Amino acid sequence: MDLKSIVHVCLAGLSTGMFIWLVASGLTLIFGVLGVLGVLNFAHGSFYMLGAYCCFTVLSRLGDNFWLGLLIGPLCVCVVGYVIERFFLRYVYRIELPYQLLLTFAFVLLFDDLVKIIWGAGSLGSPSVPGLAGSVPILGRNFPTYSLFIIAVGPLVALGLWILIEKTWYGRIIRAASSDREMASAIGVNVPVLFTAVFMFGAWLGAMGGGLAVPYVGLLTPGMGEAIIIDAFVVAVIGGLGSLKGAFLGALIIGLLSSFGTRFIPTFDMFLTFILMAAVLLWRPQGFFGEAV
Amino acid sequence: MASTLLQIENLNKSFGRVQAAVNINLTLEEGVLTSVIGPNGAGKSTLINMLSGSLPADSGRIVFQGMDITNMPIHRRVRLGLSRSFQVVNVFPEMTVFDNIQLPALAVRNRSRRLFGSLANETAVHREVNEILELIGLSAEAGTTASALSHGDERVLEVGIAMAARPKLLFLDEPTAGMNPLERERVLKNIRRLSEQGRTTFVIVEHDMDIVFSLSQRVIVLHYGEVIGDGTTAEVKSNSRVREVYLGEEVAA
Repeated sequence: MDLKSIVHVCLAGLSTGMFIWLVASGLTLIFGVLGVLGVLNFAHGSFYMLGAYCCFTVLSRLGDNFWLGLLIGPLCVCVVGYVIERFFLRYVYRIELPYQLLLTFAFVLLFDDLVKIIWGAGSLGSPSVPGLAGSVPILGRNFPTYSLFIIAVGPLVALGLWILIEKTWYGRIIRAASSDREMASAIGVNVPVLFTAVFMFGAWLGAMGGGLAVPYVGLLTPGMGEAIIIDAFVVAVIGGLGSLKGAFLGALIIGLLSSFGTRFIPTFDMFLTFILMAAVLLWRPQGFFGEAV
Repeated sequence: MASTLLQIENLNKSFGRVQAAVNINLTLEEGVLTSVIGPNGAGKSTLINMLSGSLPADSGRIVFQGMDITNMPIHRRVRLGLSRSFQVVNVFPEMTVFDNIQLPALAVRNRSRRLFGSLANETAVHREVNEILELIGLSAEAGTTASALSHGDERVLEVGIAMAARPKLLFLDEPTAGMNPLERERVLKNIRRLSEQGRTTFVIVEHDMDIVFSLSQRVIVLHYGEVIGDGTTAEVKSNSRVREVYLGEEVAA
């Protein structure tokens, strides 16, 4: 095993990790803010899937412009997020967690079938992205340009979220509402509207992950949301539920781990992620940055 | 002349068979430091919850500055200028004292709708926050995390948080609960001083009459959801119903 291979396995792991991060960030944000009320959103994988399909449809209708698809597709999913929060989730905040999980899981099944009805059960080929289609030589071996792009996008999203949460009025009020809902409304915050907005933003993040995956995964399938949501959940759990910092770190670790796993012990690839999760939970049940329960 | 700030008409609330508010009719005047007292279970918290919006009334009307607010959500009442503090300590524990006060100042300015405010506005907010810190006497603690404050200072901070929303009418729910006499004295002095400045009309809810008698211009006494006494301290003190209820005195007819 030479240095060249290690660098390439690392790069591949980073790009995988950044995809998981994009999905996990929305999941974590929704859990972190609405987490006071305990919303664990199973349907987040559906946002990823819908994001991918919407992006694909928009770009294939509008002259194969990937960037236009990426702009408009996730916004459509935002509308879906609005409907789910405003007309369904809002009514189960106060009841027990299992009911919320059932409700969001129902949406997973619903959206999977909806995608089959609209786009068909088969897979769709995905387009290549102009400008990012080729590959660049790194240490004498080619690496896909698009993967490099993804590796750059992940930290940018992280930075953007950090600025939003820590440095803006919005972030302050989001943090306040997540720490004490009653208090937030007592100081003049319109909490229901805030929750809807955060949920829509989380849905948008998930859908962006899906949209960015369109050129990457090669195939769009109706079950594509489930695969990534499991990774995203693992990442959110080991990072500490509700912690964006933890989700970012977790995504990096899982991405690298699965990349090295695929390369060296392909038979155990699937196990590695869960072994890591079990180990982390034994060592620190609340995850890296989670608050002790 | 003092003008009417809040008008309560025929307000009723019951929990099952317990009547927590019975046909309450009250008018609160601007600038009159008022106390609502009554023994535990008299319906003080129910009344304050209905007025601030965290509990819907069964029937009746609440009019604030000529506007019917009976069914208005909490945050809109706050933006109109009707705020409250809570009986249990309610601050954002992980934030600094400064941020705790800045938050409501921003929220009522509707700054939450703007992602990036201009720097000039920010300075205005900072000035306002510092002004409030000065008023409540916590300037020195501006950078302290709220959870590190003493209990008394936490309660003072609560008043500051409520003040930052620039309320015209502010309900303080047992503002001296759990305090030692020294802290209590300081808080009450503070409230009196703030009240004299006239920006905000205070209504204090207490179960201990002695605390509020020296402070209040008007005392309203509740008992089993009914108003049984209303007037100046002297008037209420000599009210036979009140004496009966409070002091357990059998007042000879």
